[in-house]
Amino acid sequence: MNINLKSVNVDLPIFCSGHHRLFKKPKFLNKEIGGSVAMNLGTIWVQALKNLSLEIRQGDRLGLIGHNGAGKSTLLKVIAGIIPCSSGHIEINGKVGTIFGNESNLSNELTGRETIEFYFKIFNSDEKSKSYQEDIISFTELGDYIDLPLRVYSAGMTARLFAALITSVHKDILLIDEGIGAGDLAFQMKFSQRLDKFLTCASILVAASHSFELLKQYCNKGLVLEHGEIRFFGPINEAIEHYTSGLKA
Amino acid sequence: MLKTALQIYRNLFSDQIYKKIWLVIGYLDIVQTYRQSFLGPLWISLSVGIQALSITYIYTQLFNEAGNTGYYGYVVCGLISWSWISGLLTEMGNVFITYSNYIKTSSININQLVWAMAWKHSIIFLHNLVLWFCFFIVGQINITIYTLYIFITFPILFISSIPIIGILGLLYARYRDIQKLVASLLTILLLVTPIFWHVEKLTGARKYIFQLNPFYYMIQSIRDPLMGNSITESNWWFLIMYFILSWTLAASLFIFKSRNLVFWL
Repeated sequence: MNINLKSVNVDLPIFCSGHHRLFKKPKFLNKEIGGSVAMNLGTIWVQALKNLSLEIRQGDRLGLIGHNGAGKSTLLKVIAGIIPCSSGHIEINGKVGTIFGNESNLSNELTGRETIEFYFKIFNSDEKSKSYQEDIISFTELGDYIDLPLRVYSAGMTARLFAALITSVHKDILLIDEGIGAGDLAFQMKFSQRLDKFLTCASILVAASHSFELLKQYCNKGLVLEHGEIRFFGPINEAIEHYTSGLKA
Repeated sequence: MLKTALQIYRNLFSDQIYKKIWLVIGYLDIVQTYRQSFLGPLWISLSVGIQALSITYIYTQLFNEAGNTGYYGYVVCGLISWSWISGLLTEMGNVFITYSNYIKTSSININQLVWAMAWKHSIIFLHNLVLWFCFFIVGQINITIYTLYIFITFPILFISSIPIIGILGLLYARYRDIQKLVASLLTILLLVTPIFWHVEKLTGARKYIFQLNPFYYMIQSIRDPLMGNSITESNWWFLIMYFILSWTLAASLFIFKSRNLVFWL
């Protein structure tokens, strides 16, 4: 199980309304945060990742650190295979699972039980949902709500359902974006135990977060990103130190 | 070159045969659309039924079809075919926009979504067949041995629509203008395509209009079997050419565009 990135570049073309209409010239874009913005052949490009080479081996728990728009989420999406890289080479060995916080994408009209069923059929089609269903339902503690449509759920209840759903099947590589804020305090504690168990099965973890607590708890290595480039790669404590010292200076 | 082409066809075709996620996504789309309505998917057949009844009531007089008992069946079968074509035309371009959440959150093979869209409209078509059956019961439609042709013609139309949905979906996603174009063309198509009127009524130069209209042949390949008529030779040729053309076109466009799809959504 490993992830190997060799001089990966990711340029995101921006197609926004107004910038791309006939007879209309785009305004100049100022860079405050995020990757550098460039114009080429009339298209605006954001260089989200620049010449990034990285090897993540089995047992690595990597924390991604950086300011908003540094390329943390882009890197996760590239590893997850959602965004293609413009140049470079990516090699991923192992089953990838993602917790990106926007998983509630099936339908609000479905009941909790149906959501579990459809989620398995679409995203985990190799597995049978029946064998996991009871485990998920009992873990969420939703009770009779499991047979009501998702649109009547509170935000916490939806979060519970998806937190349980995502961590139900074993994955080799786990990608997490911006932590997991699922439900109330009691559930958070219960969930963190489940996540611990899930993480011990996953052989690689890559997590992006602004919470140093969370990163220190789960990660053993840190990667500091700035404008899509690697600033530091090493043990998590040193990475956090490198990042915070950069902020003070 | 040959390898890339083969890869495209593998992506577009055989992967979907092995991994049938599209069946689930298409079905889910129908389920969520009709979840809160009382009649559910019965609305599909009901709306086409209401259209058919009101149109035949007026047009029997307009087109002097009052003595022609087959006219009701002709219009109903025409509308059933048209609702499949127009539904697909309206939505096929939006395929990646409608299903963008799958593309943005997972590494799903986008061709699964293309198939899902085709499947969704096939489900709608199946619902409309209820209407066809009702008209058979009241004796407006004949069922003959030729009706079985629907099991050949519809699958051909289904398979041929796959690359078209893929190509148009990519074009729509990138250039949203095309959607406006199709929407404005749809009404014109409805009126110039022989759905409510018989092609025999056209004479002179106007005769060529329908002969060049691909939608006429699509409608005929569904309507003729549904009415218990045989399929004409020119229609068979159309189906074969349509199939070859759409699957040839598929190879050219998928190479360049689909990789960047996630950026256009």
